[in-house]
Amino acid sequence: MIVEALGYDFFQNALIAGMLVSIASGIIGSLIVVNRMVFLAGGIAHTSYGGIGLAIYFGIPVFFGATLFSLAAAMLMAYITINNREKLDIYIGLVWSVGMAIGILFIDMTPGYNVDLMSYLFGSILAVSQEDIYYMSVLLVIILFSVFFFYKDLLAVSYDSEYAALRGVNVKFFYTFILMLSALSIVMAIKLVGLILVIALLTIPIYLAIKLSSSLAMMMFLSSLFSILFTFVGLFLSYKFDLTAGATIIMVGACVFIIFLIYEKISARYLNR
Amino acid sequence: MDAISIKNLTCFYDEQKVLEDINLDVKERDFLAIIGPNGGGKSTLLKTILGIITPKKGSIKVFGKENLKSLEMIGYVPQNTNINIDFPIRVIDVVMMGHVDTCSHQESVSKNKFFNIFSKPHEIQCALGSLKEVGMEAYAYKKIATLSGGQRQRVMIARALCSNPKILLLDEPTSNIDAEGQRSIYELLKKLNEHITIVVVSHDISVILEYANKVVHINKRLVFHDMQKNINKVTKHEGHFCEVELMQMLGSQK
Repeated sequence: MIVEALGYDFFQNALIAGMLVSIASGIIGSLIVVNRMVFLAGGIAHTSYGGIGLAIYFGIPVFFGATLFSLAAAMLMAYITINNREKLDIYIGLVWSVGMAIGILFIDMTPGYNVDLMSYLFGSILAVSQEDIYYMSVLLVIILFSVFFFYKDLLAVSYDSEYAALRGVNVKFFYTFILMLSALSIVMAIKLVGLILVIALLTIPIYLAIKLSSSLAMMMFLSSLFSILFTFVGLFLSYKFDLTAGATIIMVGACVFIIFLIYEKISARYLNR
Repeated sequence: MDAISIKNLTCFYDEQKVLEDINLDVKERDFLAIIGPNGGGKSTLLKTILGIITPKKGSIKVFGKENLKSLEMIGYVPQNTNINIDFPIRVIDVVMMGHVDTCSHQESVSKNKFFNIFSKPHEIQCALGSLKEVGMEAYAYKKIATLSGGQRQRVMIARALCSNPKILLLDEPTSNIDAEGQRSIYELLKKLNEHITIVVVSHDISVILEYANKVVHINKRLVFHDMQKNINKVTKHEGHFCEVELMQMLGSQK
């Protein structure tokens, strides 16, 4: 069965794309989780739908449009969090839903046959093209390069931003930078699991990795590894049982996560006795 | 030369006057305790010395230099060291965050600030040295989450020491630590005081008075006490005493 699946071009593309997305979301998801930005990342993911709508209306490549729009959303989110700490949740919720509304309206206004909304909400990994893979590769290279280049600064800001500021690290800049990198990895992940499920991909593998890691770099590496594992298993299951790939991938992750939690509870109990 | 010299300092925090007309000289190798009520401006004073808060009026000189923005001369241990306990990071990596290249004796250290995912040998040596100073070198490669509150506080002191500072500022260093741990932190500070000037903001008045040689009380304004003159009164006192009693014993100028 597996051999048969591997014979198809679309399946090979899906595996490659899945791997690229997993590496990106493992690295950036780690930064998002340790900085407690999960809600912000969710906001960016949903706001990016506005970019998809605009791109379809103006006839530019959809993922390029989504990238630009979500980068702008990330900068807006950063600006809001830095300047309006008290009313944070209201503003984020506002950006979140307005972004989606813009997307829906522009798709309504687009004449002719309207694209399948569901594919952006829940992913369309089996429809990934060669061009998509090139585009994802470029985004992944940007992410890898940025994180490698600024590793110590990102670590310092994430661990103790007050102390980092004293050390002369530009905390606001790196805060914005982390959100912009999140936007890039979210755009990649939309193709795989869709913008609604993207949060699971940015958190489940990370929660598993955080317990097993003794450094941020190790956490990024393990998260990516878990993510690749979930993606591959999920893809094969979705092929075999004819299920939506994105949802299957998330459920595989969720199952492993639950098993891990149960194991942890039992072993903690056993050791404490 | 004075380690820290503060003249006519006035500070505002959101329109509100927090510090008013503060004058304070800290000599080299002093052990200064800053006490006072919550919201009295203790932390603000520390942050002004660190250059995080810009004073409205007056001047602060650290070893004769004004507007010191860097932490090269000053090591800082912030108040809340219980943040991010679950963060996956080893003790030595936390300590290395305090590293400034003045610590190293190598002059040829590359200025390459970026592509710094791997630490350089002299940074590791420096961090291990500071950990040894606080008696935590055995924990260098442990995860920070596995340490106790007192041990974590020692690591934060090691981080501050990593830049070879001449002055160490600590903001409530024992607020989350049990009595035993508190004493051992102060013993450590006493040892460090042999070569470093120490400034501690604290609520633990009864403990700190055994170690400090100067005490200032801050509640917007500053009252200075030289412990040398009053030390007998304080050390003869049994057990804990409250701030009011302390003020009486020290002969508060109010």
